Amino acid sequence: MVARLLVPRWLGLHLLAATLVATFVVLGLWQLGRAQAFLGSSAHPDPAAVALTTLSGPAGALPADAAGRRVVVTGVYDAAHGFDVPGRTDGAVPARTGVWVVGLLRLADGSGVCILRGWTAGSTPPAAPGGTVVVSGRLEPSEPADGGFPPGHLLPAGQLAAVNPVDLLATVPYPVHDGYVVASGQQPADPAGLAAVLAAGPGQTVPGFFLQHVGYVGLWWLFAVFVLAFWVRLVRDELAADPVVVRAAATPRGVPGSSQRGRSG
Amino acid sequence: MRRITPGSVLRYRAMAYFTGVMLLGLCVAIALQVTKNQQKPVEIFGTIHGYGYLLYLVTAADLGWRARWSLPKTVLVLLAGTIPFMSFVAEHFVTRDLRTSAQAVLANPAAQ
Repeated sequence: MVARLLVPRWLGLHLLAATLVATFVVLGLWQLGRAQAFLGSSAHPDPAAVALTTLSGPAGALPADAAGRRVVVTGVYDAAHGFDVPGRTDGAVPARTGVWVVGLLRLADGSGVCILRGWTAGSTPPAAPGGTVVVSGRLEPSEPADGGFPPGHLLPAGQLAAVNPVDLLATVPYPVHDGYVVASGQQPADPAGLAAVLAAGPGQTVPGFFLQHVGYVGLWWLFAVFVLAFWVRLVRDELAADPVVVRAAATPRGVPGSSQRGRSG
Repeated sequence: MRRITPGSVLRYRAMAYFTGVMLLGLCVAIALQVTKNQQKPVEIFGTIHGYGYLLYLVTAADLGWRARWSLPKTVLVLLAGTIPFMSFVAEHFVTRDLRTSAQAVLANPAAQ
């Protein structure tokens, strides 16, 4: 009887079932890790503001643990290299579409850092104030350079697709820090009166919510249980099948499960 | 008992419609995520469709076992719940086939 389950087409089915079960178990473990990472990130401390230069330099990538940290940075806006990022919504409901106004702040060491000054619905965003300013805000990782725009999409002069120093390489003659500061305050105050953009705090980079990840853990493992149960059902049906009928009905190109067709119930 | 019951058909049909609608909702949610950067709809519809699809798998496999579908047919019906609109199409053909065979049985009970 059992020999019937060891022919090639059944062996292939056993292998497929084992592969599916293993895959679903691993996917469940992956979501479990995400859920734990999410819990860990929610409990992440939010240290007091520090000088930008202690977290970020003009060379190299922004360290992962610097993302979301509160920072203070002193410098002078470079009036020639500010830019706007179109297609951004504000926090209102329903959301309004406008632009992010980004200034490039020159630090004492000559390097620059992008400051997201705020959001405006206006079509002619205000220029950055002159003189030395002290900006406080949160340091965020650079956005994907294409900003979600399709490749080759042309923007008007003075606009960039995203807040990413890579987009400034061609035009700015001094090094620019990776990442950008989402301004929450400025001394002296920014006269433009832009709407402040909300910034994510430290470690809030795992998307979704906790129950979603936990829900997916259970879901993947239940899928594994389903495949196991399905496989058990196929094997039991095959073993319970009348050998004479099976031999008569079996064809060389038949597939498991098809041998029971036409039997009376 | 391995017999097609009205309940088994109803359970399958209900879940086929439910997963189909939830999957369309998930597609809208994904569009919102891409165009409006809204995360919540995907999280909600993704989870609902996930568990709905699990119930769909159970009800469809149960009906397939009762109706003695071939393995390829069963697998196709099971996978239909993951492709937009396909669960409606699968449900249409499954119900039609069941009606046809039921009429054949009524016309000639000895054949069963």
